[in-house]
Amino acid sequence: MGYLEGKFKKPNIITVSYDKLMNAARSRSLWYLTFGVACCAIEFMAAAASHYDFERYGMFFRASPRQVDMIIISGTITRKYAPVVKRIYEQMAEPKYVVAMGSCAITGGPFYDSYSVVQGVDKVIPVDVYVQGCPPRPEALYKGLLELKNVVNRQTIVVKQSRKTEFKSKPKI
Amino acid sequence: MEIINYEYKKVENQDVISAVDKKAKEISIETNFSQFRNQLFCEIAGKDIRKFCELLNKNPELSFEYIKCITAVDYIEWLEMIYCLYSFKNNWSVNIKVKLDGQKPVVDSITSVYRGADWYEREMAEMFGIDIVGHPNLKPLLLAGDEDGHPLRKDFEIKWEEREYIPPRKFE
Repeated sequence: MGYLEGKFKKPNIITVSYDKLMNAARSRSLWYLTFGVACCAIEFMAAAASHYDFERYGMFFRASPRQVDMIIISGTITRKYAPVVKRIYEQMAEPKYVVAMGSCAITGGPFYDSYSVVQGVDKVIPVDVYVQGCPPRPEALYKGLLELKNVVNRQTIVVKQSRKTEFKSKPKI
Repeated sequence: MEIINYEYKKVENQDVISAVDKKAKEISIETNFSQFRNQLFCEIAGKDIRKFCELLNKNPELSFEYIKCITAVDYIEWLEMIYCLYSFKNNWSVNIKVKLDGQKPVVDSITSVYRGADWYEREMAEMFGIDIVGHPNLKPLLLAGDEDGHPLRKDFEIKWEEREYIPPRKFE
């Protein structure tokens, strides 16, 4: 895949079918990092455990950031903790996706005017899907993750992307 | 197998007062006891805190081995620091209040007496600006370290505005 990346300049019949195959394979097995920050982590663990199960979608947890595809930021990010989050994000391998869960990770949440809170994790790392709620129910997190599947399905590998046309869009549900 | 019967004695604040007061008078420390909602408070002067804590810790009858918490309250003219101690042997708990100056609060560190007071004193130093003398390692504990001002004081402003993210500076 490193050899074929950016080989074609325009989408044609080869790239469309190749991309469909690769995206279908990728979106059905996204591995996530066991990374719980604050109270939204409880809802995230509840959504990943047996009553609502992540594994039926192919999502499995790994403990090391080098072996995962996506990270779910669930909780308040303070100024002291933000370089750590950035470092973990930089250790992940491409292609990587970020889900901001809960209102603290979107805009700082109920602690918007605090002296130590970073207002939204998208000031530190780029975010793909935002899931609202304080905390969001497991069903809401599922809607966010299924939206992440749509984001993965829209991507292309073999068509060369210039800086103006970025195929990776940031939807908000 | 032995069956041990525990007898729970009811703990009364008057026992604590009489025991501590007697021992404190031998070292000539003035104490001022008061009660509020069934909790015992003891006010002493700021320079006596270290001797008093040594007395409470080392004495085998009193034996307050455990420090539960250290907090502080900001009344604008003065600042009060509260140490919560507990004795496992006698099931006694006492709260010690120390009055400090509002502009430049200075107090001795009790880390040499209680090892558990280490992180609490770091938090007091960064949140209230209390100058703690004799602490081994006074780095910021919870904050990023480069706020101007001390957050839990009454004259610290909190604004509803959007701030940029500035990464904190690193400490060695």
